[in-house]
Amino acid sequence: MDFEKNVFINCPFDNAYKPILKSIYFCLTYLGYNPLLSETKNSAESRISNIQILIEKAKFSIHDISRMQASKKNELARFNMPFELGMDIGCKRFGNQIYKDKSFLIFDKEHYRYQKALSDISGNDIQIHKDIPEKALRHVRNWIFKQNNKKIDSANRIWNSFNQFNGDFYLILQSDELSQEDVDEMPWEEHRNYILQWMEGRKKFNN
Amino acid sequence: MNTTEILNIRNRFKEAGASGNKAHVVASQGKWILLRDGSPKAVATLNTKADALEEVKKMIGTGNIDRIVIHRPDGSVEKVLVINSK
Repeated sequence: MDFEKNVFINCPFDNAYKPILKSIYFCLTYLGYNPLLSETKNSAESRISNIQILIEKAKFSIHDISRMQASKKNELARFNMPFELGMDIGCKRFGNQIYKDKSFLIFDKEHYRYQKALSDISGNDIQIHKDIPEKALRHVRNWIFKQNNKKIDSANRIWNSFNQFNGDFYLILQSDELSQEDVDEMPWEEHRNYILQWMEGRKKFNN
Repeated sequence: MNTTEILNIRNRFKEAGASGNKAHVVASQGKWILLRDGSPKAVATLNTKADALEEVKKMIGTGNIDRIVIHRPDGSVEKVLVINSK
């Protein structure tokens, strides 16, 4: 796939985060980008190798460090996301010329929270989504706009389309054409194909 | 799922994208909006979900709306109301 259109998404995969991931994923697909997630494709490869491959493939990355916290008392915080952010920053700094143009969108859920644990990234553009999928989608859309400075659909239009797509997805699920198990285990690339097919149908309306 | 089933589902999504028979109650920027399938712009903007649910009833019987999809603030579907045409 095209380096210029690939977007590596470094984020949690827990159920609580899924609504945010779905909105980000839809937004990128809607705008013609290829979201890349570290789903296990080849169990022979270590997880870190898979992530390195995605970092190499993508000009753009979204790093969400909002789960950089312990989920229970006496539990250590999760640091996979900031670690992967660090690898990506290293790729941009020390990699070949092609990687010098890498661009990152860094998400957290509260202003200045990251400074308590990761002050090295102060000065970077950190966007706050407050755990709200619509906010995350709007930030992603505006970040993509800034990369090219070309006219793209508004955040309102993309959010509205995301809701309409979810409505149709729900109805297809209800009609037993997909089971809940199909949906829960659906690879993200398959999800992307359904978004693209749905958008193909939407062209009828000439929006 | 086998390849045929996947292709069938893809076609279903394409058909669904081209369908225009639903109204949506959607949360957006702290308000609630009403959308009609295939239209990118809100038909109405309301302050509360209750107001939106009241307002959407006015869309019943207009155009070819046969379902109202009520969304949660995260964009997922809370429920679908099927409108009885009789």
